[in-house]
Amino acid sequence: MSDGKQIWGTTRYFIKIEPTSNLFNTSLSGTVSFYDTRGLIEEKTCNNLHQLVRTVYEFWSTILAPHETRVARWLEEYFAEMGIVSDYRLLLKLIRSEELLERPIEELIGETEILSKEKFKEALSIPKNSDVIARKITITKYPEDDYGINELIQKIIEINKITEPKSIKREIHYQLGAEDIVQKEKSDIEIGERLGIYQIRCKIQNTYNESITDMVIEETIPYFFKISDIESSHDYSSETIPTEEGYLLRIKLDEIKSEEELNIKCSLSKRIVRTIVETYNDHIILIQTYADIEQSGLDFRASLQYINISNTTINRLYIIDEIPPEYQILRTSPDAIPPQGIIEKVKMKGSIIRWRYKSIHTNTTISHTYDLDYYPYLFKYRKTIRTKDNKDILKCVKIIRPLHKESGYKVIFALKSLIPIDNTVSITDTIPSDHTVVSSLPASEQLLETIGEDGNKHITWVTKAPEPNHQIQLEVHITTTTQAKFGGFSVQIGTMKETKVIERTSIIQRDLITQI
Amino acid sequence: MSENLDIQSVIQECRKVIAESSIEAGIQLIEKYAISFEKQNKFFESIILWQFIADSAKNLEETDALSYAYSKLITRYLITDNIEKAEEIARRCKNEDIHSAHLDLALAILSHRTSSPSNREIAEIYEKDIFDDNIPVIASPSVTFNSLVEIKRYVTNNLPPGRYFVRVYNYQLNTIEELEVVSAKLIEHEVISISELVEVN
Repeated sequence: MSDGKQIWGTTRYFIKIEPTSNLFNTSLSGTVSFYDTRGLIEEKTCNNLHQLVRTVYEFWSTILAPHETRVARWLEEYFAEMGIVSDYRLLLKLIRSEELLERPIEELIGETEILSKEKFKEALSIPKNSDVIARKITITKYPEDDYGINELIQKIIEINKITEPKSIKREIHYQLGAEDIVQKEKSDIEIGERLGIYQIRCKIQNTYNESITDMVIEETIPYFFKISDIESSHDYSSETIPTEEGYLLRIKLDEIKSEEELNIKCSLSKRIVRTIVETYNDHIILIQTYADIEQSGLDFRASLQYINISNTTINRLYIIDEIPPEYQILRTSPDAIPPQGIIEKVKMKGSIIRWRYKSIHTNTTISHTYDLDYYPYLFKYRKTIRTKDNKDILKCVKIIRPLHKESGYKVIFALKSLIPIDNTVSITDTIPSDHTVVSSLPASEQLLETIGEDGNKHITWVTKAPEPNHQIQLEVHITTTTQAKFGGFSVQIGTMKETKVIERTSIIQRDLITQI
Repeated sequence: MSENLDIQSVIQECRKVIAESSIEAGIQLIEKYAISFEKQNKFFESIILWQFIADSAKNLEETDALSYAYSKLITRYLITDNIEKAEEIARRCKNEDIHSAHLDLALAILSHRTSSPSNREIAEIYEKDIFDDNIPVIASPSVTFNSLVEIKRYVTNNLPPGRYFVRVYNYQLNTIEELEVVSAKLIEHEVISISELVEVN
């Protein structure tokens, strides 16, 4: 039997709605499934609320005489059961409209003018290395109802949305003898060593017979990120300069000697993306900015402030704060309680905090504080071992899962042989020196612990390779008060050692995982 | 005016509309009358009207209109529990090779109502292992099922909690159906995955 809602007037048919968000508006999407007592009859993915309610109506009308008001009431009740506050009148209107309610929204949007950012920067207390983009958008006519106005604002936000880049631009200048050399390249923003940390790496090998001098490395960091740390193998000085595309991180180094290798690792953390929409009689001011998330005890905190710096009263004010997906909201101050504040949870994506105010007078200040914690995560590192004659022989995996009831985390190592392997396999991993191995299971498996030259602990699992297509695993319980460090491990099979990485892919996404 | 005369006058009016305008205009008119009949629980009258549309559409070789009328007839026969007539229309659809989204849904509902027991058999059950490889799970091949829900129930009750991918053979439709059965409690996580292919000497 489905866990959907029974169609009123039948005992045999059910409809199940799985919305992608808890925010009721015309763009609410989701899946509608139609069941009878024998099982699933039909399922449809809907891209907006109109499609969703029309699908319910269509399913309903195939088994009962059509009755728009009953379907609208049923939908209103179903949404309420899911904790979503809906609107009966809008539901009925959408059911009755066979065609999507065509609002010529684009026609309502007039010219866009870029405003000077300086006054906004000062008023909104924009942190260092952050930016603000302000636009004045003329509105020819506002829609009559609230949903129409919301659609218009959503459209304007979509049109002006800035996409988060996946890579950064880099320019390297240096002096080789009397020659000035300039290199331009792109560098991927990679997964960092901890949740919420991203990194960009710069590696330069001096292959010349003489020293490289007066080196300047310029990296354009998107405003979506804050620099949390810079590590370098050589002494350096740095400065940041704001630009349109991002802030320029300029790193200066005096000298890299012949055959030396320069390694720079810049760690980044994501910021909250804030969108402010001020509505006036004939125009809208759209402000986009970023806010830092700071460590606060064991959790994180972000404090944001808004002030109406215009000379007139704002009719409607919307503030939309996009929380990076690696965080979850513990609490907000003031409490986000509908209709003024709502925490929108988008399925498999993240959280958005939406605030709505009316009649905001000049110089009114509105402050928001968000307490955040890491979102439940899982780190998975997979390695396939290939011989020089292109034969895959072993698969290894390492999984890190934080523990919920006690401090620390669990690391699971697993091995699967793809061919018969007679040798022993050793897996070596590194953990910070303040992390302690409490236990490992099964206890019969051998786990060696040593201290490396870098002060970190090295744990090595030495085991006999499993039979082909069989797997063995080791579970290591580590206690600590700090976060687990994300990183790979090295594999040795008998005397065979890893020589090079042929292929590497990395991805961060939401997925459904069993709880431990 | 008797009900029969009402039906006759509606048909007359509709015939005129079809002749002067189009079959779509006729459908719009019939839809309006059929809804009002159905609101009074007069499904027999609604069936007569949709049969008229089906006949007209067939004469005019308007397949879209014909498929719509057939879908209406199938669901109306289902509402009145006249499965035989619904199946007769379904056979006509098959013989005349008529399809539309609305008609397919009506046929799917009919198929559910008429499907004989034990028409499905589990072909394969897979589970993803820690390496994300598909690992077949041994399932009894002699067990047959009435519905996908029964299969979900079988997997949930007979296999350890997990996330299973099931391929089901449907004898009646001669198709393979695929479903995912989650019997373990799953929670949204932020998953960071790195995958490497490395060479050894």
